[in-house]
Amino acid sequence: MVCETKRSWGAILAPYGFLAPAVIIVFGVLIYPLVYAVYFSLTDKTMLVSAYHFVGLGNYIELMGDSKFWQAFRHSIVFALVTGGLNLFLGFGMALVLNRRFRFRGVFHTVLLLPWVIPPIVTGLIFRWLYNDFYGYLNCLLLGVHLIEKPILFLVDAHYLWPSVIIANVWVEYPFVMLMFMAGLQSIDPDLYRAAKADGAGSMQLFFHVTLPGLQRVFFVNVLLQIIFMFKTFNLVWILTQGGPGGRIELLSTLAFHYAFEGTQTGYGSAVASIIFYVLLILSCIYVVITTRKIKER
Amino acid sequence: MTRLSLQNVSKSLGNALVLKKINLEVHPGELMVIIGPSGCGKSTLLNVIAGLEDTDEGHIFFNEQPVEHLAPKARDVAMVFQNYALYPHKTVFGNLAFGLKMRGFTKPEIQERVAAVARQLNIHQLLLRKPRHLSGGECQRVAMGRALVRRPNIYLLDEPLSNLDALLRSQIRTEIKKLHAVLKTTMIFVTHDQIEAMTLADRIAVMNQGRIVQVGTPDEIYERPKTDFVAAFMGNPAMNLFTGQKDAQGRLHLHGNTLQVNASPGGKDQTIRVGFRPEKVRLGIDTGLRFKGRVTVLEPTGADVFAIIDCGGEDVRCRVPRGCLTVGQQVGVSVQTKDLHIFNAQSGHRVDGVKRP
Amino acid sequence: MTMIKKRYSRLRGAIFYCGLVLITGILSLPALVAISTSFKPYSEIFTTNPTILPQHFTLASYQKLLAIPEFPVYLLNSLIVAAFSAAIAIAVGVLAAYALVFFRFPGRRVIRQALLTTYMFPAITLVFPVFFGASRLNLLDTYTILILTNLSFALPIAIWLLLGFFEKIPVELERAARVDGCNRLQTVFHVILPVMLPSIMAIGVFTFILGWGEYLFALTLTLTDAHRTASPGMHALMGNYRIDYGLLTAAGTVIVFPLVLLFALFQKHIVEGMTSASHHRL
Ligand SMILES: Nc1ncnc2c1ncn2[C@@H]1O[C@H](COP(=O)(O)OP(=O)(O)OP(=O)(O)O)[C@@H](O)[C@H]1O
Ligand SMILES: [Mg+2]
Repeated sequence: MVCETKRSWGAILAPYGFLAPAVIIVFGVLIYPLVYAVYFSLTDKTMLVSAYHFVGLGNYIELMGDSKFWQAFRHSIVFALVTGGLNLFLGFGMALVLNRRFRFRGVFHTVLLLPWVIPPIVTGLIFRWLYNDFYGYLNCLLLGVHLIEKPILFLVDAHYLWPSVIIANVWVEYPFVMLMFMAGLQSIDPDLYRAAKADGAGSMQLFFHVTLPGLQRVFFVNVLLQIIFMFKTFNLVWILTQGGPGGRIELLSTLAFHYAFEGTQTGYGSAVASIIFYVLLILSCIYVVITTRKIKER
Repeated sequence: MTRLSLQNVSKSLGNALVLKKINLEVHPGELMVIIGPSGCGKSTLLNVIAGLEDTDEGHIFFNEQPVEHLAPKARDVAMVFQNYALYPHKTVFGNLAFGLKMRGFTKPEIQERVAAVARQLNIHQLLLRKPRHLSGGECQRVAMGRALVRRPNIYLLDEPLSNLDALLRSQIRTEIKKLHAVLKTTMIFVTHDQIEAMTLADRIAVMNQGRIVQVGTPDEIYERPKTDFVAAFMGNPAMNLFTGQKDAQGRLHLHGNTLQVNASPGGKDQTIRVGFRPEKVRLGIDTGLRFKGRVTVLEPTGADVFAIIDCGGEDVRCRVPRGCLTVGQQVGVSVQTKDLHIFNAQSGHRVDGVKRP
Repeated sequence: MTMIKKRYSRLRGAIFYCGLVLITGILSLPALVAISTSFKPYSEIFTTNPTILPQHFTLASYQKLLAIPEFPVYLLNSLIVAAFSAAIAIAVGVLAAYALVFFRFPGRRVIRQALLTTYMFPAITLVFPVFFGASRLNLLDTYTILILTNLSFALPIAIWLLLGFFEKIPVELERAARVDGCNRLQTVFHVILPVMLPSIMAIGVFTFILGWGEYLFALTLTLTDAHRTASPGMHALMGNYRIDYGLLTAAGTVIVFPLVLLFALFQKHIVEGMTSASHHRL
């Protein structure tokens, strides 16, 4: 009898045992630091002095009056919407193109996906070189065809800074969107197309009545994921501009980094970083709620 | 030889109560067929017996030993799955040998047993192939083989023949019957094919919506169905079932007929269901329950013809010898009182004792 | 009639193809320019009318790169960190995904959702506490902390992709193994792993790719060349050899080359993984 109970305990606990390593790691490297970040945001911790005090919401209150913060917040929102939007546009377009059947499709597929695996630092290098003021291809090309008189400082000039950074970001980020959309397109039952064609639908009607409705869920997932990913983005913007001259392209992430590591105000920087987390948390909750509801509807 | 008994076994999956207080006794060495419509919980029942799913309530005994807390390995059952579930990365030999290997058999023992079973099932020439290079019938044999190499307490077969064509199906059915006669191991065979059930079973358990409705020999199930569900479910073509009235004197009123039957004495006026099998319908107006109508459908089924006769809005299905009916013909048919099955319309339970003439 | 239609569709096909080649060309131009720069002599790099392909092909930049003793160390560090974090993510992720797919237990949905949501966490929020934690534990500038921080994204992604693959395994296969006498752990090793091997390797490769080029943690948590991975190493090179784009593009090419190779080899399975992962619910 004792033996039986023991065995059933083992059976009951087994799944938790399998999950334990993952949960411990996630707790150690994600949850715990995150809680600490929120805690730091409530202190006046700095990089240099080890003693620090609890200041409650002091940092947040201070942030409310910090024009740099509000500027970065606006920048982050605009950056997320514009970059995410372009990623979706290009990703969807290329997915439609690649979804057709043609020769060497596999080769095009691979080549187009490749930017996705390039580490951010290398992407940064590639675009710094492309945008280089004297010897960069872009300037030489534009000068060569006499579109411009003197070289453009793509990563400095207020007019070109944002487009230049966004283009670099789109270049590495859209392949992921493309991949997701291709997955979505392939999951549409080909019989639907056959049936619609048999009903006399043209290619436009096929697109609007079969393709788009079939992609509803993928669209939704991609839009939210892009907003989430682009809102928290740091690497490439930092590598290319470090926030730009005068904070022209300072995002919340780069601002947090400036405050916490360069300006040594860890507590204050943590408050900025925590705000990114709060925004993402809300977005993630929306994501979870809506995807699970979508499942139930089926 | 293992005696299996289930006592009040309940199981829910998600929000659905899939098994509802199942009670079942399987005698040692018996071949029990479980039959029921799709989704009634047959596979779940097998999984519970094998230990792949825990029970929520109730007890399972192998030879009077409780096994609810034992893992599948300790219960030592062999199972053939509805979709074969062969290991795709192993050869046929590997598939057959795996269960023995996991139970610590030595190499020569494994070789010997696998070879024997492979010969028996006529798959010895396939031993080095991977499952993806096998036909459906071959996969099926390998799946059977994987169960047969073991000498388990119980064999659990979950619709093992459902993906085969008719010929192969009847061949393998015969083989299983022969194997069971030799092995004499307790066997539970799930199907929703009643021919399979009738031909194979020592006893049949009919399931519906998570309950076992009736357990009995094939003859009992066919001749004396306990409920109108069993009556309608077993038999092909299906039994005719009509709604009628029974009065306090035990007289049956149906379709203009009034018959004396002695169903449930002392009753009052009551709605009932009256059933009779198509092969009990006799051409020509005779004694018993009488119908008149027009032949609307004729389906030849070999020796017999299956006919539907429209009797004033109610279809009577009957099985008659070839060539005695034509479509559109007006006929009268009758069923003897002894061939009627009478069920309570509310509960569906059999109302016993139709008066024999 | 059909002739005209045929010719028309062929024309359309040609236009489609030209457009595709053009777009692909434009989209791969940045990478192409960088690669070609790495093979150009100095005079061709620093000119105001550069060509797309090198006129005189030379390995001078690569020779210069070889002369930098830290560079191979960066690559080795990246290899160590990425390989270990990928291996741990796979090992831990396989167990977790197996439990989430094949066990039924209270809390399954919640744990599943929580694990899947973590991959949306912003790295920038984690980096300050991790920095202070690491310095408290004397883990700054070690492989350990880099491997651990890589797990913060490698593990959620591995689980996300593994779930997509495991949900395609018929439950009967796993059950057959248990009836055949496996306990749960044996089931994983004897059936789940071998059946899913190519997919699992693809996921390993994918997390490896991510770990190899990880930037933010590697930048903040390494202090010396001894533990710098490719990203902070490259960062240092970009500081030290500010405008030597021949050398820098050569370094970039060397850093990316193994990733491209791995990706091309495992592309089919990685894409398949993303495909099934993109469908499955949270
Ligand atoms: N994981 C689950 N969660 C919720 N409900 C489930 C789950 N698995 C099965 N069910 C439900 O349990 C019921 C019984 O399923 P089961 O597979 O046992 O049926 P079955 O009798 O074997 O049917 P079939 O003849 O089609 O194989 C079905 O109604 C099914 O929808
Ligand atoms: Mg079933």
